[in-house]
Parts: sequence; C-alpha cells; structure tokens
Amino acid sequence: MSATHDLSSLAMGRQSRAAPVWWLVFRREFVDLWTGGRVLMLLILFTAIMSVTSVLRELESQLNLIPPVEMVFLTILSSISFGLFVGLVIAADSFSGERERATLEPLLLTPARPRQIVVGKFLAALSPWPVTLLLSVPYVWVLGQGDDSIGNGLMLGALLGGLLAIAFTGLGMAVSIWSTSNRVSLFTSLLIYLVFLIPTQFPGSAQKGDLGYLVQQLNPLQASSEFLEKVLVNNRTVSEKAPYLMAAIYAAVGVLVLLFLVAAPRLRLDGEAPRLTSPGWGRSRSARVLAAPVLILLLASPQAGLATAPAMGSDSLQVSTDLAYKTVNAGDTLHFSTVVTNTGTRPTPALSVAMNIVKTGQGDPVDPEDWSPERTQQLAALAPGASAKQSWTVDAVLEGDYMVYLTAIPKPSGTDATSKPVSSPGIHLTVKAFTESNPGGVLPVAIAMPLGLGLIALVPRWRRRRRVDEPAVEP
Amino acid sequence: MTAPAASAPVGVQTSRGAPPVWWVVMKQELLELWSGGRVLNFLVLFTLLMSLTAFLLATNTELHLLDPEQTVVVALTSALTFGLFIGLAIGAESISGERERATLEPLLLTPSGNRQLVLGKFLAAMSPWPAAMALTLPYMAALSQGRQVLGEAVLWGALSGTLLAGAFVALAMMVSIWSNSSRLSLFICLLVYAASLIPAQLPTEFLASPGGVLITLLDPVESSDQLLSKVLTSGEPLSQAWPYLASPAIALALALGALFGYAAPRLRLTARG
Repeated sequence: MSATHDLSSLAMGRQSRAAPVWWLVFRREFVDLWTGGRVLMLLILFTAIMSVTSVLRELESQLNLIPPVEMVFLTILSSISFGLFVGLVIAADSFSGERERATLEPLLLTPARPRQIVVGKFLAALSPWPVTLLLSVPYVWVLGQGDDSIGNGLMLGALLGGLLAIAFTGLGMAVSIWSTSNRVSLFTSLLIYLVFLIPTQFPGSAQKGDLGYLVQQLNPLQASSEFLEKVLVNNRTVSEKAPYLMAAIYAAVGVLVLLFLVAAPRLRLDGEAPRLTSPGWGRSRSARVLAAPVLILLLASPQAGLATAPAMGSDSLQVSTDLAYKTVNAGDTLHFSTVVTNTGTRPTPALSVAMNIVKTGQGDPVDPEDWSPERTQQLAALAPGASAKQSWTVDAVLEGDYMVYLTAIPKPSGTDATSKPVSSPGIHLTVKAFTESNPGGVLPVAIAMPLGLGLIALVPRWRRRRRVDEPAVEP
Repeated sequence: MTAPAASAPVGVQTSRGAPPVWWVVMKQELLELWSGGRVLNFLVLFTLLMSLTAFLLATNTELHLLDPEQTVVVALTSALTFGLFIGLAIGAESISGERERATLEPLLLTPSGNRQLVLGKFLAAMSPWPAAMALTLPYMAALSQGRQVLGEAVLWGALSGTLLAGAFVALAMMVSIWSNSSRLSLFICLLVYAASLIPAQLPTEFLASPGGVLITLLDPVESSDQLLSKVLTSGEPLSQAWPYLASPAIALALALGALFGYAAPRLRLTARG
C-alpha cells in the first residue's frame, strides 16, 4: 500500500463511521496487487507449472494406466502446493516491502490499529488462492476425464487448500512483520516452505513406522496429501482420517493466533525480531509433540504361546502353525513355522503357501511388503501323508492388533480349472508401541551435532558484541 | 565483500606480483561469510535438519523398513539436498547483495577483471559444501552400523555433491549478476531449487520409463539421487549408472561456462546496464 493519500482516508474512515480500516487497507492492497500485475505474473507462473506437471502426469498415466480418480487427486495436490507458494510470496513482501520502500511509517502513524492493517493485508494476500483453485479446474477436468470424483475432489481441495493458504499466508506475513528486509522475509518464508516440502522427497519406506506417521501428521503439507488421497482415492471416511485433517486446521488456527495476537500488536517500524524470552515463545509445541514419543518408554515383555488348534478342515490339506498368539514391541522380529500336510489319499499338485497380515481393528491397512521379506513360498507336490515345513519371519512395524494367517494354494490343473485354498489358524499378533529412544545409537550424534555447532556459531556474535562494548581507542 | 576498503589493495598487490585478485576476493569473502556467522547459521540449520532426518531413518531401520545401506543413501541424498541450499542462497546474494549495499561500485572500479571477482566469490560460496559434507559423516557413520557402504557413500557423495554444489552456486551467481535485488535473485534461485525437487515426487514406475529417465537425466539433483541409489544400494556398476553421473557433470560444465564465459564479463553496476 504505497499511496499515502489513502492514509488520511483511513483515519477519516474511522472517524466518520464509514468503511472499517481493515476494509480500506484490504481494498487498496487488493487493487495494488491485482492491477500492479504482480499477482498476474505469479498466476502465469502457476499455470505454467500446472501445465508442465499435467503433461508429465498424463504421460505417466498412459504408461501406467493411472485411474482417473488418482489423477484428480494428484492434480488437486499440485494446485494446492503451487497455490500456497503464491500467497506465501505475496505475504512475505507485505510489511518488509513497505519498510524497504519507506511507506510503513505513514501507515503506522495513522490512527488505524496495527491489527486492522494486518487483517486488510492478510485478506488481500489470500485473494489469489481462490483464483488458483479456479485455474486448476480445467486441469482437474481434463486429467480426471470427467470422473465422478472431480466434484468431491475440488470440494476437499478447496477445504484443505483454504486452510493451508491461511496457514502459509499468515506465516509469511508474521515473518514479514519481524523482518527488516524483503530478502530476509522471503528467504525465511521459502525456507520454511521447503522444510515442509523436503520430507516428501524421502522414499516411501522412510515415511512409515509410528514416528514416520507422526511426522506426516505434524507436517500440514504431508498430512493434507495423505487425507486427500485416502478420502478421495481409497474411499476412507473423513472421520477415519480426521487426524490428518486436523494438522491443516491446527496449522491455520495456530498461525492466525501467532499473526493476530503475537505479531500484529508488535508491528513496528524497524521489524525487530521477537525476543526468545517473550511469553509464548521459546517453547515450541510441535517440538514437544515430537519429543513426546521419544521420551515415553513403554516396556512390554513379549508373551508367546504355542498353537494348539488344528488347521481348518479341508478334503486333503492341512496347514498348522507353531504359534497361536504373541505380544511384541514394534521393531521386534517374529519367527514361526508352518507345516503343510497332505491328509488325503492322493498326491497334491504343487503348492504355494502365502502369508497375509490383517489389522483387526480400524486404521491403516497393512502393507505386507513392509512386514515380511518373504511372503510366498513354493512347495513341490506332497505325497499322501507327507508334510512340508516352512519358516517365516515377520517384522512388527506398527502398533496395533493383527491376525497373521497362511494359505496353501494348490496349483490348478489347467486354465479351465481351479483349486480350493486352505488357510491355517490365525496367529494373533499384538504389537506395542516403538519404545527405542536411541534407535541405532544415533541419538547422541543427533543431539551433539547441532548443539556443538550452535555453540560455535555463537562465537562470532559474542565477538561482535564484545567489539561493540569495548570503549573506542583514541588515535 | 561489503568492506570497500578491502578492494583497494587488490589492484596494487596484483601489479606487484602479489596474490592474484581472485585469491584476495575469495579470502575477504570467506572471512565475511565464516566469521560473520552467516555460514555457521546455515550449518546449524543443516545439522538440525540432518539430526531429525537421521533419527527418523534410524527408527525405520530398527523397524526393519530400511536396511543400513538404504538409510545411508537416504541420509546422503538429504545432505545433498540441504547442502545445495546453502551454496545457492549464498551465491544468489553474492552480486545482487553488493548492488543493494552499494558496495559493488568500488569493486568494479578496481583494475581487476570481472571474471576474477566472480571466481573469488564463486570459490567462497562453494566453501560451505565441504563443511556440510564433513558434518554429514558422523550421521552416516552412526546410521551405517559398521557396514562397508560408508566408505563408498562418502566417495560418491563427495563427488556428486561437489558437481551439484558447483552447478547450483554458478547458476545462483549468474542469476545474481542479472538481478538488481537480492529478493529477486533469491526468489528465482529458490524457484529453480524447488523445481529440481519435483521429479522426486513422481512415482518410481514412471521414473523407470523412458520419459521418466529423460526427466531424471535433465534434472541433476534427481540424477545424483538415482546414481547414489543405483551404485550404493543396488550395486550397479558405474559402466551402467554413468549417465546419472554425467548429468550433474554436464550441468556443472554448462553452468561454469555460462558464468565465466558469458555472465562474468557482462557484470555491471546495474543488472540492466
């Protein structure tokens, strides 16, 4: 808001009970952003990125036959990720830019309260978000091939994108309030954006386990992606995946509180950063949330029991296990054996024995690949009365209640025949939470490195302060 | 190099056969970057991110989701991703920052060639990368749990990381030479950085297809990740994985060629001069 003639109108507006100050600030800022061409430039960049990623997705779809619903999900996710960027960049410039252009002082000298100025600027910085959503509709429509999920997807995208836009725009603005230059605010805001984006670079297997899922839930970008995918693609209910939605809600609410209750009242001409000892600062809630599972040690002693129940009956095959139930900690490895016996009078065909793991309650389905290195074993034909023993290994990954069972599948005699699989009794597996506070002995390194370097980084500051405090020497 | 006084002796020393200009510029720049605390702040942030990553990876190794070889590779690729960022941010500010602080003029008035100024600044902006790599070693050592992969990982990480760091610093400096403000150069550089991370979002099946391989080879960051994964985890020989090493090497050669062959001689007081 660089035009100073508006400043008097702000004051006038307040006194004559005309439009509220935040509205005047918003209107002026909105006009500056949209007619100045800055938002339009960012939107052109947005459409260019969307076009490139859409072409890539379409190529990918043709190669791998990605279902339309997944394309809808991926396109909406891209539009949210890139759309946030627009709001973040505008917000990061909002106050530090005024400072650099020396237009903040007149604004602060008006009788308008800082919070009203912040509200006006915040709403103006949010204004590109609905437009980016609208611009993404044609991409979603084309890539989704008119799929039924498009309506739901756009609705969920609007909800999640709206929450994230509030969070990231507010964050950019808070950073801008405390930055003396655009360079600092832009850099800090984009750094935060990248820090949230970088975990998505990790391979899938690095994002699993209780801690991996916790990190996903704490990162609003990852949590929103997970929520959107599960609800839209995997037909999960909103209530089932609510914890992932809560991350975006908490982020939006938390940032609004930070912006309007902490940052806005402290809006100053010089953009001084808040002191770490200020109330409400210095104790990061998310840090405590992260630390909690590390500090809580839940000791659970494994309990094992032997299987006594015979295999479910079938004509000629029986599968038995040497384990009926066991309680383990996440991270433990479980070994057990099965015996496949031909109880019939004729030889069996060749057999496949496959292991499956099912979660007995609600929650994420088990990906057996994560739980066991070998899930299928092949057996040669069994003579009448003959048996074959197999050994199995299961790595307990996630806390919960599971049923492990094995199925023996006789090979069908031809393409026009089938066979009757036979299952073993279930092995009831109870997995307790991961309790290792120093996994792989990495904790000392993880603590010592930033701490040690942080102390070294204090030396230049200490030297500078000492130099300032030293009395000037007369020549 | 904000102290204009430092630029005055440059020409004098050169004429006496003293250290070359690029050396003097680099020394001054190194001093400011390191003793000013800027690089140290970046490195503290780097270790924080690495600590979080290492803890998460170690947890997943305990859960048997990743074996130590894979863990070391993921830690190494994370170190490359975070480490590049430091050089990029410093490079992006190197010339445009001088313009903003009005300290570029004295530098340009010295009898040194622009190329020498750029070389000095380039080498100084590269300096955080070896430090970042050295800081990564304890994490990798802890995560490798004594496996042999550590030695190879250090070697390949240092090689591909140096190629990438050089390419990104050169790119950032070029952007900085053509930008009037640090805000603009940082914005463009971070945009390029974010764009280089996009291919990693694509599914593995697509990256294995011819189109995916092409995109990977065009993106030096993704190429380096693939190289490390193929050589260290899958045990592929270099004779097969070499295209993924060639990509960052070509990127470096192109970036250096453009920086020193085209942009540096055109360094002016204003970006549009």
